[in-house]
Amino acid sequence: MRIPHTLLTTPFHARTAPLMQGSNWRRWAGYAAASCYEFTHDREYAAVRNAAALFDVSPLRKYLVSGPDATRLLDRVVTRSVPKTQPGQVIYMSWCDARGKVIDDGTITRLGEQSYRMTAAEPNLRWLRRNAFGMDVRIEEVSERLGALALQGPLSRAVLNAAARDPVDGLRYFRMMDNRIADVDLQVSRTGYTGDLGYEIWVPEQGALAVWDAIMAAGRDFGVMPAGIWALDVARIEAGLVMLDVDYHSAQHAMIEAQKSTPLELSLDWSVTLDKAPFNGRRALAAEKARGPAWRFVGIEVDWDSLERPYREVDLTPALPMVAWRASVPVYRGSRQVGYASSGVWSPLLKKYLALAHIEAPHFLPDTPVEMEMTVEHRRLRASARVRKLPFFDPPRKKA
Amino acid sequence: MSRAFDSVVIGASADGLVAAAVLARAGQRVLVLEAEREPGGTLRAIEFAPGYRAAPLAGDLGHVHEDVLRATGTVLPAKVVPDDCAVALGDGGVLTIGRTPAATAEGLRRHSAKDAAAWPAFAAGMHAIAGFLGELYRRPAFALDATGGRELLSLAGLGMRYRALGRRGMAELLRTLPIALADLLDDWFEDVRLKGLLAAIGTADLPQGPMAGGTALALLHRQVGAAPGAFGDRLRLQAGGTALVTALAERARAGGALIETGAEVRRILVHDDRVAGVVLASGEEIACRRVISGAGVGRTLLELLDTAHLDTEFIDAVRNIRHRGVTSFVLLGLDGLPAIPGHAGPPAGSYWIAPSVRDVERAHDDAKYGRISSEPVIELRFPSVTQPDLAPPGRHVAVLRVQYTPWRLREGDWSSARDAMARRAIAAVERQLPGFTARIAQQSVLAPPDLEARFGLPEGAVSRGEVALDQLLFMRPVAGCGRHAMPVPGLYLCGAGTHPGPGLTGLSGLLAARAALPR
Amino acid sequence: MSGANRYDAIVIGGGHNGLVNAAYLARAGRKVVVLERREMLGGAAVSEQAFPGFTFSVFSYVVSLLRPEIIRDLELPRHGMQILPLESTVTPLPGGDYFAMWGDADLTRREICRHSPLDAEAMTEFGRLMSLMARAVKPILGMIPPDPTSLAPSDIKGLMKLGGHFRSLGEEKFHALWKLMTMSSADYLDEWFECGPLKATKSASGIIGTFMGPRSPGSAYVLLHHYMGEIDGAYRAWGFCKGGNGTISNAIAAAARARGATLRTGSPVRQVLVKGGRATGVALENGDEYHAPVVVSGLDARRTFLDLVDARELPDELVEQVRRFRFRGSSGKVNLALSELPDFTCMPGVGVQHKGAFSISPSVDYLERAYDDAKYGEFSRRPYMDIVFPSMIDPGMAPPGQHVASIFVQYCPYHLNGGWTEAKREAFGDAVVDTLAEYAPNLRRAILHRQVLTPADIEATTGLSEGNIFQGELALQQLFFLRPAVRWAGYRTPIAGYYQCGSSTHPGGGVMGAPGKLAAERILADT
Repeated sequence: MRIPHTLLTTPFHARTAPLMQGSNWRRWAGYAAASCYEFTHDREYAAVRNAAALFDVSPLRKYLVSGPDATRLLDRVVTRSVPKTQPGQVIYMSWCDARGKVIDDGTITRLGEQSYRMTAAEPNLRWLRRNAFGMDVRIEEVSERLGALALQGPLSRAVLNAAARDPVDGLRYFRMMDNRIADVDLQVSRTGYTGDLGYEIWVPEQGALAVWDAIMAAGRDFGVMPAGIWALDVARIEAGLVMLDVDYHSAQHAMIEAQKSTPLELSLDWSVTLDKAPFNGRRALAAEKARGPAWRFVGIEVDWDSLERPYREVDLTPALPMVAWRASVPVYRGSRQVGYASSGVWSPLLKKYLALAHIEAPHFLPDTPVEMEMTVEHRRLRASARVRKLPFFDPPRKKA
Repeated sequence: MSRAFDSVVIGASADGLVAAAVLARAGQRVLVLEAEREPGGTLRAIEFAPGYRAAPLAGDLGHVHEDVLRATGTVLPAKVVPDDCAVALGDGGVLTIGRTPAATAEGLRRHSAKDAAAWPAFAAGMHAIAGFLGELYRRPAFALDATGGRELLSLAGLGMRYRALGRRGMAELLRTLPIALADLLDDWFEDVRLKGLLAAIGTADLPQGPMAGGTALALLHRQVGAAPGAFGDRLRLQAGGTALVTALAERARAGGALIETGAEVRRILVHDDRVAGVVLASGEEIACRRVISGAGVGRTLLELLDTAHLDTEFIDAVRNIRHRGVTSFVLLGLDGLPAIPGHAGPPAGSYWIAPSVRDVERAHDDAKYGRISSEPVIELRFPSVTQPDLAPPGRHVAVLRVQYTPWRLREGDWSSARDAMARRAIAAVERQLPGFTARIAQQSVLAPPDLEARFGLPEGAVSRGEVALDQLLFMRPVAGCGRHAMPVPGLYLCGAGTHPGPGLTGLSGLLAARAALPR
Repeated sequence: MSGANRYDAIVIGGGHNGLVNAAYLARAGRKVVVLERREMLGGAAVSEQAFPGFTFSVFSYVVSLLRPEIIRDLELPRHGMQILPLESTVTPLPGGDYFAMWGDADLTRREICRHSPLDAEAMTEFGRLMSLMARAVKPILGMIPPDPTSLAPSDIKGLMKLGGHFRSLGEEKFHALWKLMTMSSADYLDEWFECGPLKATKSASGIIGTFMGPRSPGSAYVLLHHYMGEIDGAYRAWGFCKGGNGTISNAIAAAARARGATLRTGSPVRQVLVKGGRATGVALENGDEYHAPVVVSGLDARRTFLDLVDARELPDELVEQVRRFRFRGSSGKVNLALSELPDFTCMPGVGVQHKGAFSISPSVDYLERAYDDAKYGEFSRRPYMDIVFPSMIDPGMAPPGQHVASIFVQYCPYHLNGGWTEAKREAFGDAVVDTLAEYAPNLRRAILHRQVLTPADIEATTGLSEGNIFQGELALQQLFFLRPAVRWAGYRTPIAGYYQCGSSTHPGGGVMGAPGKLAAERILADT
């Protein structure tokens, strides 16, 4: 028997591997994933906001949930109303433990009356199975069988129209359609992780390479570029989208309570429906809602002058984080620490230093002046900043 | 207009009736709903052959604590107090555990002078530890975050009880709870048969052998409420378990509780996150603020209740309760009593085939791999000796408790295994009591699946949840639920599956009722 | 008596705990002598060239629980201790497949997924719970056990501290810890996993050194041990010591010497000298006497209380408890000198797998059957084995191109029906080789030399009673304030100035060093 002493590879690996100019691989859920294909991610990011970028997002976990109790199961698990979704509709939601702490977040696509596809950042098969006790439902993990591409950017619609059998013009935001690319039957949903116009393509493993080729060929005239996680990270921070294991920790993996967050603390209120059938964490979330959340997940926008000044003092130009950082950075208001930023990046589009942060009540209100720690030439300083409502960037084309 | 009560008690078991009586006496309007045609639950006698009846699970009625009698105002009916608690059959004549340590020691002298000398101290030591367990059992299970004045007082009371054991007693308690029964017995005795008998009594209904850790606890658990050294015998009544049930039912009715039999509860209703009523098989809905269920932990929480109201972690905990029934009963109608060699008088005690610790352990080895013991441990009783009405005039009833017979057989299934198991058990008795087989007129077998079907025992487990350190006290039925209140407000559980566990008849009903009473 | 034999403290036994104890006492400025019976230090943690060119960690063979504060306090790396990674465990399965756990989480997840996707997920959560539990247990490991039967203020304070610790955990963690402490490893793992080999391999760690099967309640908590090392600053403390486990002993010995301790080998102690209820020194087999107001025994409880002193000096209650203290050695050791590495059918060739452990534990039933043999007084025909190839980690252990294998074998009862004989020892060795050869057919021809150690041999060589590698079973009724006896679990004895520091005391065995250190703390506070 051969020892598999390697990371897993996605169905697109045969295409993505030769594109890697700097061998800039990283791990993503046990898979080898590209941080960026070129030596830097500048052009890959630019494609997201200017043309179209193609991301291999196959390491996402994908589950097929079907059967008479499929709706009941998912409605028990997630914070949003599942019975109200229409076939062809996609919803974003999170799911919680009994204390209302988020385990993971993702999307549910209603494929039919009794069947759904659920995506997750981490493995959740066991959690789904545990919740399915006494239910007539089939839960199938299709993570390895189903490749996933995200085609994101203002020209993504044009690229897809050129590549696919059926035009996607009529596909509304957070809807899904059956389609065909390069003779491969697949599904296209108008979803993504960039906050831009974009689509995700769900393709069976065997058809993966053909679909990749077809999209790249069709996209040539539209400036399509394969893009890696660095570009994605910049875009998702601009879009104010939360990331598991970066901005919050799964309630099932966090070592201490303080590392866990509720959906309300993550500012995902809009995805919590308290007046539906009982679901995991409902009691805790109802109580929290009545009380008002103690924390909020907000945007932080660093004031340019206060960023530039300390650099000027030591005769340097500001060093800006072109690659998003993932760390825990203190945020202060006056003498008091009122929270921490969990990711941040220089936005090449908005020309601003942005961060995503957990801020305590009442300091999380928009425009609250705060300070974020930064280090300039081995000296710890605080940069002035303001709390901002998320997202930072929300172009009309996203939903149009 | 549908009916409404303050409290509905599911199941007219001894525990359910105690709960009903306590609630009714506190002024509540109480309805007891029993699915069977008569009350009694597991203490019920069944007619296993025309004219022959037996209550296989009521061979020993367990310990009815003084608190239970006082809270319900019950006076116990006439008892049976046989001289012999447990008798080991086998080569070398009978070996008897008697009612008093002196009597046992006297009998043991024939087998081992050393053991005879050790017996009184052993009996007293075990009795003292069991007494401490009894104190734990009569209280709501200890909670880590106890704060209230009453709770701290109760803890302080326990502390005093513990101190009262004395230095040696305290040390013995701590050491004995986790130890293997075989090791405990080796510490005290040398006679192989005495150790075999005690090992069999201790591991009765337990899916472990006496060499497993934690089995000394099972012997102690069974000793709670028994007289010093009276292993294997707590309470028997002249009129059997039915007499106890009738007395408790009478007390519940006297308090104003209504008892309806033939009324099966199908669902427990929940509104606004608390109990709102029950639905019967007949379709009737009965409104109530509280439900005290003795219908079994798993059945109540996972079947009667919509699991949507329970957290996933809690459901998992309930599903993880270990039951693993290992006991079968062979019920026999006899045309006369067999003679017990070396034993005079009518056989009123319990008679055991468990020649040695090794034999009991070997019997268990089979079960470990999902097989029925080739040489099972057998406990034999003749209930008709004290309760003649169980059999036609001049006839008798024998109840064989056969262990180990696992609920889940790895090969084959019980439909084909039942008769072979009974044959093997009867043959084993025949070897000890020649002529026994010839007296058998009627025969019926209750294997674990039958016990599940007839008496609602999950996996056929007489224990209704293994007696083990991780499933007792604050861990019974599941972690943190030892105080009988379940996560859905208004729902309480009683019965052997809850604190304090099997054999402490009525205590869980009392504790559940107290928990349910508004403060 | 000459002043040369006068010390502040005498430590009996140069095993790792005795050496740790001496090092700490010496560090505090005490004049200490360690008296070791054998010609070498280390007790059961020794490296020997059993065959020319082949070095073995004869008895204990991995580093698992050595307390990181001891490593730091005694600067053991400076004294030659180097721990090399021993990260993977491969469990060969009868059908030619295997089950493996690697050093890398992604690789392990991928491998477990092959057997059960659910288990792969469960493993992550299980690991988290075990880390939480290890943290909950850690303060207890570093605590001198109070006497739970005493009303003395210091004991009450100790018990209150313990109660406060449990309260601070909160209900959820306390309940989880309770389950772990009381359940059987098989039942405990059944709540988490479905993959048989995974459960068997994990539960095997719960039976090591005890006379229990994996289905016996009380075997679960040892599951924690694998997670202990990673929580307290000794990340990856689980490993193999360069040069074998004797190097650890030598490092501790060097640390003790550097702090002024005298270490004497070839000095078997016959008895502790007691005058008026006080220990005054020891007498050696050869009649030499050493004098000190403090005498510390690193030997096991039976030897400490029943051999070294006259039982009449002790209260009956203690003597009875020590007599009931269970040793029952249950494991043996087979050391092989090999001309080539075993070629495992399930993973052919030589590779990274040989740098980790192999575990012969295909199923829980397999372990139970192995236990069944021992229960009735026979060695397991098909035993559980934990195999490492030290020469693959530290090439200096064997001549170039050749190898050594260290095989821990359970069950191998001390109390064998009919007693141990030369022939039975060889039959036991054959059973080990036969079992292993089923998974690695080239094994037999690869064996150059074979050393078989039964519990009787372990007892004869190291002095460990009944060959129990932990100086007494690690079972719940022999832990914490019950180890080795109620009231005398705090390292003192009824004889003033006489202390115990072996693995018979809390927190017990394994090359942990904690008893030696805690005893030193007690002694330094007392005197």
